[in-house]
Amino acid sequence: MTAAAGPLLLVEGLTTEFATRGGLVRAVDDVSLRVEAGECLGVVGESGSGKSMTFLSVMGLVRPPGRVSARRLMFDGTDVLALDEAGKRALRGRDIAITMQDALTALNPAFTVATQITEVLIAHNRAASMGEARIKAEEMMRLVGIPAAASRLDDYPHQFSGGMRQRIMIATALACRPRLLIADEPTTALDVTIQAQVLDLIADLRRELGMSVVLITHDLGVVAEHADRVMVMYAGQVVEDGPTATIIDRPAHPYTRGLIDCMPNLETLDRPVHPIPGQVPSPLDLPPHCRFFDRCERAGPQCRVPVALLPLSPDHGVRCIRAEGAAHG
Amino acid sequence: MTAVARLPAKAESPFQLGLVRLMENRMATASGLIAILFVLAALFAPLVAPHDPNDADLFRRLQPPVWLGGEWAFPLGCDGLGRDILSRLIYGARISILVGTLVVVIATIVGVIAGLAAGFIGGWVDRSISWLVDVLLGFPYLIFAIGLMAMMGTGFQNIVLALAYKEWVVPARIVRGETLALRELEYVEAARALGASRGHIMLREILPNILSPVAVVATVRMAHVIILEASLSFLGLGVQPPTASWGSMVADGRDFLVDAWWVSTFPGLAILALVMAINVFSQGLRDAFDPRIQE
Repeated sequence: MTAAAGPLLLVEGLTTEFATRGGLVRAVDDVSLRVEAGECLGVVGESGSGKSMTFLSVMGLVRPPGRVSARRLMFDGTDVLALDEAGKRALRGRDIAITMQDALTALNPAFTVATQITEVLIAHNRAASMGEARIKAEEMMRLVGIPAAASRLDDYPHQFSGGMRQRIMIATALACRPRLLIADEPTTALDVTIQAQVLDLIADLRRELGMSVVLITHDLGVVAEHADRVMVMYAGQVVEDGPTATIIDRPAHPYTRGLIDCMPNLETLDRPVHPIPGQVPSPLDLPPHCRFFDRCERAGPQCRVPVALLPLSPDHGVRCIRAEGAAHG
Repeated sequence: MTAVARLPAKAESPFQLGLVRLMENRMATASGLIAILFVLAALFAPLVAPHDPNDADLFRRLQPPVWLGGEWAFPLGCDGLGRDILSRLIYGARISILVGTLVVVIATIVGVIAGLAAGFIGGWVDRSISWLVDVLLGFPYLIFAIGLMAMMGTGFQNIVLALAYKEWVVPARIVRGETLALRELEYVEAARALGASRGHIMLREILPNILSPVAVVATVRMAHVIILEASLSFLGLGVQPPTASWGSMVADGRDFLVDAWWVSTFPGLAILALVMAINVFSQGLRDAFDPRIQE
């Protein structure tokens, strides 16, 4: 597979639906995105906004009754939609890797960490022999900063702390040197000091290995520090996307502004934190108009129409008809 | 990176940790030893037993145990045909333990395969296996076994089959439930994300992590199967005379309960001792290997 011109990952019109007793739930609604080679895309949103589901869908990890459809799904010039199950399986782990939200349960308790890392290498033919795989496994563990990596290869997951397990999971995900790492809330299970270490580690590895990273989080601070571009999701839709600096300094969507306002800030501690009132609408009962309508401070009668993602500038899109400069279509 | 001094702790698998906990449980270890004694006696029956279990001699008919005026050559007395009860107990252990082990091994293998398939594949596979399990669970065990024995005829092989036909549903249900719970766990999802095949996930991610409940259930059920075999033999549907089996020995003594209680009582006590030992041991196994107690 040779690198074609264009983005590493290109997704157009991705929709994921679940048939439930209560009706059809559209967890991901017509999401389009791209990730350039070497880029870090931050994906923010509340729980249930569809950010994890979007990337599980991209990886083909949604199980029935979930149904995934997309107009286009290209990875490095390859049409993923046209691949059979074996082809997708080969892509997973080898070219695209994902780290799970909960590091504490993401390793199989029955096997040593060496076994779990070498297995991936052998499965994707990245090591010719067990010996070579073991050497690579040790290398990966050293890379993610496990002290005395060689002597800890044959330890079981329960012998590691939470932060170390997170690192080992990252090592497992990175074992085959994927082109794209999807880090799904890589730090939620960790305490603050370890959080920074893990994020810095991902940033270092990104530079070293030249891979692209999708950083899924609900922490705008993390995104501000690490992401090149940001995609904000709300109730299954992308409500705003653009370069990180633009989004943080001049958020165009009221929801993005709300997320920024409810972030405690050390420099403006005297200023009260503004929580966003209300809750995300139930996916079974989405309003036909703007989905943020009920919680929006600036909502007016003209907002009672379906809203498309409109370009504010070539690289900044927003799903709000009241955003200044938005071309009305 | 500086070298970090590490305590020379040995890598301990969950299995090794469980074994250590099991050894610390005295009741369980003692019960395990008793069960092992029974197994050894059964294995080396020809060496341990003082007499031929089928050596009848009507001059010794209903001879009482040694402390009620019998003789040391026949410490637990003799039965209605003058056969040595102790020797028959030792040979009878062979039948009980062999039937118990074979039935449980067959049931566990079949049950694990069926349960894994039902829980992991789901869909119509799950529906048909679960339906079969429900139907089999609806039959009273003993009546089901009696019916099968009546159809197939008596004999060692048929006892094993009759009991295994129904016994597999127990591990199958447990494995199905555990599989359903495990397939949602992050490490199973992570394995899928790393490109693992379904076979790999079933055999490497799920199977090793359900082995402890399966082992615990197998031991509990072994005690149960031993009782069932004894029940079948008591009803005359088990191994046929003159082969000694605890159930048929209890049945042999029915007619002499008042005059010669020892004929029925000792095989009854043997069943009680072995079943209790296995049960207490399995309790200890569960305490030691139950993943919920582990960190």
